[in-house]
Amino acid sequence: MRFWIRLTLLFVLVGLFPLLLLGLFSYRGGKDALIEEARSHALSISVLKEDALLEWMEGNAALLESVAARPLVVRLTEQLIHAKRGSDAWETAYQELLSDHLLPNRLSGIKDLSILHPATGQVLTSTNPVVEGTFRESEPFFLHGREQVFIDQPRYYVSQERLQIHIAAPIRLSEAAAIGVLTCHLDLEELGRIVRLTSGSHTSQDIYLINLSAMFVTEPKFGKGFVAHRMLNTVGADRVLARERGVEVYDDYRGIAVIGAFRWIESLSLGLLVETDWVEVVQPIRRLANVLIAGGAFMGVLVLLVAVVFGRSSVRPIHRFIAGTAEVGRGNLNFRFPIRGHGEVAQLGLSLNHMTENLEAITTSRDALNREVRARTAAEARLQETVSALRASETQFRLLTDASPVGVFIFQDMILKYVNPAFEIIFGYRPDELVDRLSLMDLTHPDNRQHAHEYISHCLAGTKDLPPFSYTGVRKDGDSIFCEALATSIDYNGAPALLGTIVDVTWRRQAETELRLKNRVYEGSIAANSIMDVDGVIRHVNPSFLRLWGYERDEEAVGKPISAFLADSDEATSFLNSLQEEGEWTGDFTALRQDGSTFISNGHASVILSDANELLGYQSANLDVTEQRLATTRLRRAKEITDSIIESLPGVFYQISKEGRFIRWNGTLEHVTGYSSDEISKMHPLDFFRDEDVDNIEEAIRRVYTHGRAEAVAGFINRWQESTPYLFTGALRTIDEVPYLIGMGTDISELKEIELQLRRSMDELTRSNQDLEQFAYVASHDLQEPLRMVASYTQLLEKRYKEQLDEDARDFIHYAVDGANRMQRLINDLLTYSRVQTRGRPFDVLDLNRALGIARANLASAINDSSSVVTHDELPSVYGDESQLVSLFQNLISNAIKFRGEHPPRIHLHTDEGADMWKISVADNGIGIHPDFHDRIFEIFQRLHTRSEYPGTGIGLALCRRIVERHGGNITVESSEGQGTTFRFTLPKLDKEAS
Amino acid sequence: MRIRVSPLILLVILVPSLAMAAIDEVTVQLKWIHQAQFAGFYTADREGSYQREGIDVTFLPGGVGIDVVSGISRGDVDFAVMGADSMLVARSRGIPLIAIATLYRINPFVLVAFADSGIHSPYDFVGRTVAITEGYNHIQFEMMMNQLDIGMTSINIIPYTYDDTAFLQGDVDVTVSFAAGSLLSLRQKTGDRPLRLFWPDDFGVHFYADTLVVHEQLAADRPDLVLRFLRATLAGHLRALQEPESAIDATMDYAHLQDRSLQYEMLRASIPLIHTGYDRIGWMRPEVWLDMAALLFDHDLLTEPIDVDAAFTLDFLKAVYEEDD
Repeated sequence: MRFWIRLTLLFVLVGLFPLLLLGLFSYRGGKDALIEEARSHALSISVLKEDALLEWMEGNAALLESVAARPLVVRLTEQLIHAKRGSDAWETAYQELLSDHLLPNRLSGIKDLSILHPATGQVLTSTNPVVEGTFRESEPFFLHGREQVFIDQPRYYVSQERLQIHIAAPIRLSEAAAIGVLTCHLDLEELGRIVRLTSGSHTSQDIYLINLSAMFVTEPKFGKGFVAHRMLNTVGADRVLARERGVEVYDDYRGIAVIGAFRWIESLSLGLLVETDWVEVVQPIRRLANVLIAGGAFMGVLVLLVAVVFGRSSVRPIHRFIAGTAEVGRGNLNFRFPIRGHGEVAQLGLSLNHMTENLEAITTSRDALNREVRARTAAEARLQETVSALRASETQFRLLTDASPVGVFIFQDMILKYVNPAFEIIFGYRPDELVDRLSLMDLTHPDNRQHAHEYISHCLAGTKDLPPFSYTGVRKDGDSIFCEALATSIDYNGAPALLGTIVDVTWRRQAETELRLKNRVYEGSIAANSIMDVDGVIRHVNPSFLRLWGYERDEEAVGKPISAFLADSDEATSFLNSLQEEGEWTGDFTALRQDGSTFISNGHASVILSDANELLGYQSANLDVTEQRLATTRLRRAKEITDSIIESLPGVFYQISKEGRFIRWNGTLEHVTGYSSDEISKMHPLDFFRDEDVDNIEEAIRRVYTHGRAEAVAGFINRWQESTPYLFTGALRTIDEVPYLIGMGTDISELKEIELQLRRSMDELTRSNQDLEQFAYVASHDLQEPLRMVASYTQLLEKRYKEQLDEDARDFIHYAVDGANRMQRLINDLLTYSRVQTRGRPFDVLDLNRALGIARANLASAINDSSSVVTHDELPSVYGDESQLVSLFQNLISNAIKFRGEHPPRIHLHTDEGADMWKISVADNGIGIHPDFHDRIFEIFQRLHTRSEYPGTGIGLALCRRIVERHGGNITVESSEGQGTTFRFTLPKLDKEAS
Repeated sequence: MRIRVSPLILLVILVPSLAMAAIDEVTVQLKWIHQAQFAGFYTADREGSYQREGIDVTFLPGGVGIDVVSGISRGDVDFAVMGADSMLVARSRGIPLIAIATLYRINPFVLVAFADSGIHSPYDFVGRTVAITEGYNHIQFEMMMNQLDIGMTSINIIPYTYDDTAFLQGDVDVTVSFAAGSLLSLRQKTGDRPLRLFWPDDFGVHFYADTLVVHEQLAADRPDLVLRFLRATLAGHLRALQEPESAIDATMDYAHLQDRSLQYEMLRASIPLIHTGYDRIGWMRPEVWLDMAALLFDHDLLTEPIDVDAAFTLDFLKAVYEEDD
C-alpha cells in the first residue's frame, strides 16, 4: 500500500476512533439507564397493582360479609328455605331479599348477588334471574363459603359464557351452621379496568392477569376475546406460574420483545404481568444513536479530506529524493541533490551528495592496485626453486626406512606425510591410502585419541625422555591392535613435524591377559581347589579351599597331607590309590575342618602329568554339598508321607497330564473302578464316563487349563458299567514346569439323595407360597371390590336422600362408610405386609440418604403440620430394595410424629458402623412405650392405644420388622413411658454382602 | 379389575430411554368425524409430541355406523375417544375398558330457548314443548328436571330430529343443542335474535363427555405406552389452547373438507369445555364418576351396579403432572 494512503488512513483512525468510542459509551450508558428505569417502573407498577387488586377484592368481600350478617337477611333466608316454593311466606321472603338487600348492593364490580341453599347449593334467589334454580353444589366457593368468607379462583361458566371470580359468605345465626350462602361474582371487566389503569408514559404498556393454568383472566391490550379462550405461553407466564416475582426481557403473546414484570398473587391465585414494548423503551436512545451516526459520518468525511491533503504534501520531498538517487544509480556522479531547509529530507539530500563525492574518488585509485599484483607473482617463482632442493634430501631418508621391520612415520599438520612399508603392514593399508590422507588419529582407537593428542603435543614441544606410548590402534579391517609408539620433533620441509616409530605388541598383550584370566578363574572359583604333590601333600590351595576347610592363611594348609583334611584319614590312601589307577576320581566324602567339624564334600580329582607323561602331582576341586544331601533325604521322607495321605484319601485321587494320561493315582481309584494299575495307566479320563457326562468332564478339564480350577458332577462308570454320582474337582499344578491336572473325586450318592429331598421340600414351599399369594390376591381384589361398592353407594345414599334422613340415619351411614374404609385399609396393609417377601424387588446398591429423602418428601405435610424436626447423620449405602427401605423410614418417622408428646417432635437418625453390620437408630422425644409392650409392638395388628386416641391399623412396625429381616438385619426398641423411643435396626454392610 | 400401575409408571419416568427404544404404532378411534373437536390430538401429532414419545399414531374417524366400543374391545384400536356414559355402560356389560382422562369435562349438551320467549329458567319449561334426543341426553335432561322437582309429565317432550326448523318457526320452545357443534350453526341461523342457554351442569347434572379410554389389558401390559400416549395427547391439547390458530392448521390436515372458519369457531367454543380454569386438562373427579354411574343405573342402562373406582384411573394423569411439577 502506498505511503500517503497509509498516512491518510492513520489520520482517519486517530481522528475518528475517540469520537466513535465516545458515541458508543454514550449510547450504551443511555440505553442501560432507560432499561433500568423501565424495569423499576414495571416492578413498581406490579406492586401497586397487586395492592389495588387486593384492596378491591377485600373491599367487595367485606361488603358481601356485611350484607350476609344483617339480621333481616338471616331471618328472610331462613324463611325462604323452609317455606314452600310459591307460598306467600316464600314469595315475601324472596321479594324482600331481592329488593331490599340484594339489588341495592349491585355496586360497580359486584354482580349476580345470590343466596344459595346450604345443603344442595341451589340458587334460591338472585339479582340475575337466569341463574335462579341452578346448582353450585360442587363449586369450591359454595363448599368453603358455608364456613367463612371465601374468594374463589376464576372459573369459566358456560351458562354465563364468561370467566367469573366468585366470593361467598355464610349466612348464619351467631356461631351455628350456615343457613344459606350469599354469593356474588366480580365484574372482570371492572377488574380489567383497574388492572389496566396506569399513569405510565409508555403507550405500549400492557397489564393483565392470568390464572393458575395461564388462561387470560383479563383482556390484554393487544388481544381480543382472549379471556377464557386463550392460554398464555411466554417466559413471563412460566415465571409467574412458578410463583416467582421479578422483571425480565422476553417475547410476549404477540411474539414482540417486551420488558415484563411478573408477580404471583398467592391469595387470589392470579398472576399479574406488566409488559412494555422493548422498542418503545429504547426509542429515545435510538434517536440519540441516529444523531451520533449522522455527526460521525460528517466528521468522518471531513477528517478524510484533511488527511488526504496532509498526506500528499508530506510525501512530495521524498519523491524528489527517490528521483535523485535514481540519477546517481544511472552513473551520473556529477549529480547534486538541491538542499532546501533543514528537515529530514534535506539531511538525506546532504548524505546523498557526500556519498556521490566519495564514489568519484574511489574510481581514481584502481590503477595503482594492478601494479602491486605483478610484483607478487615474481616472488612466488623464486620460492619454487628452493622446494626442488629439499626433495633430493628426502629420497635418501626413504631408502633407510624402507628396510626397517619397525613402522616409521612422519606426521605433520595432523596428517601422515611419510610411512614405511612396515607401517603399512601393521595397519593393513596400501601406501597411497595413508600418506596425505590419514591422520595418526584415524589409526587410533577413539578411547585413546585424547591421550594420543597429549603425547603428540609433548613430542612437538620438544619434551625430552618421553616413554613409549602404549595404545590401541585400529587397522583398516577394523581389528584392534596393541601398539607402542615413540616419536620426536623434527623440522620437515621447513615446518615442525613428528618422526616416529610404531611396534605391534598385540600377541604379547594377549598372552599376558590369558595368563591373568586363568589365574583369576582358579583363584576366584567357588570350588575349593588344591594342588598336591605325588605324595598327596598339599602344595597350593585357593581362597575357597581355605574358607571351606576353615583356614585363614595359605601357610596353615600348605604342606599338610591330604589325610589331614578328611574325617576318615584312611580314606586318603584309597583315594590316592584310586587316582593313580584311574587317573581321576569323583565322589562324596566326609571332610574335616580345622576346628574339628565335618561336612559332606563332593569332589573331583585328577592327575597332573608332564609332557613326558610323568606324574607331577594331583589337583582337586571340591564343593560343600551337606545341605543338598540333607534336602534330598527330607524330600524322600515327604514323598513317603504324601503317598500315604493320597492312599488314605476317602475319594479317588488323580494326577493327569495335559495329554490325558494318568501319571499318579491312589488305590481307591483302582478299588472303585475295578481296573488294575496297568489298565489305568493306558486309559483316558473320559473312558470313565458316558453320554452327556463325557462333554461335561471334557469341558471341566478344559476349564482347569484355562481358569486354573474346575469341578463337575458326573456318573463315574466302573468296569462293570455301573454308574455312581461323583463330585470331581481339579486344579492346575505345575511340576518341573510341566502342567498337570491334580484333583479328587468324591462319592456324593448320599448328598444327591439329600438334595432330592430338599428340592421336594422347596417345591412344596413354593406351592405353599403361591397359594398364599393367591390368597393375598383374592383378599385384595375380591374383598376390596364389594367393600368399595358398600362405601360408594352408602355415600351416594346419603347424598341423594340427605333431606329425607334424620340425624341417626346419617350417623349410621357415617359408621358404615367409616367401617368399610377401615376394612379397606386393613386389607391393603395386610397385602403390603405379605408382599414384603413375595413381591420384593431384587436387591441393588442404594444410598440410604436418598431413601430417607424420599420418605421425608412423602411425609412433608405431616412433618410441617406437626412442626417436627428430622435430623440425621450421614447414612451409608447398602444392598437392598429401595421402595421397602423408604417404607421402613416412612413408618418409623410417621410413628414418631403420631406418638408425639407435648413438645414438637424431634427425630434423629444415628448411624454406627459395626464389624459386619450398620446399626441405624431412629430416636424421638415422643410419649414412649412401656417396657411390658416392647415385644408386642412388632406383632401384626397389635395396638397399644384405641383407634380414637391414635388412628391406624397397627401394621407399621410389623412391616418394619419384616422389611429389616428380609434385608438380613434385625430391629429392636428401647423406650420407657414419657421418655421417648429409639428404634434400632441393623443392615449388612456392602463388603459383607458382596462376599 | 383394579389396575395398579404406579410402580411401573415410576419405572417409565426414571428410565425414559428404555421406554422409547422402539417406535410403537398406535391406533386411535375418534368419537366422530375429523373436526376441531379433536384439535388437541392433531396438534400433538403436527408438533411431534407423539414422535418424541416414540409413537407413530393413526387416527380413525368415527361416524354413523362406527361402533367405537366394539373396536376397542376387540383390540382393533389401542385408544378410543368416547362418552363417559358409553364407557360405563360398556363396562357393566363386562367389557373391561378404563378411562385415563376426560378431555371434555363439561358436557356440550345444552338446552336452548329464545331470550324473548319468556323462558327465564327451567321452571318455565312447564307447559312448553321441548325437543330432545333419545338416550343419554334424555337422561341428563330428566335428571335436571328431577333436581328442580319438575315433573316430566308437565312438559311436552318431542324427539329432536337434528333439524332446527321447528324451533326457528316457534313450534318448539326449547331445543337440545351442542355447544361445540350444532349450536354454532343455530346461532348463524338466528342472527341477532338472542338465545338463552340452560346447561345441565348448572343444575347439578355433571356428565363427562369426550373421555380417553383404553382396554384394561393394555393399561396393565403396556403402562409405559399408555403414559407416553397420554403425555403427548395432553401436551397437544395444551398447545391447542395456547395457539388456536395453529391448532386449526393441524385440524385442517385431517378435516380437508370442513370450513376453516367454522372449525375455528368450534375450537373456540370447545376451549372452556376442555379447560374450565379448575384442575388440570384431562383431570377427573371421583364424585362425578359415581354420580354418572348412579344415574345410568337409575335408568336401567347399567345391568348391575359397577365398581366405579375401577372404571377410571388417575395414575397416568398423576404421573404426567407430577413430572411437570
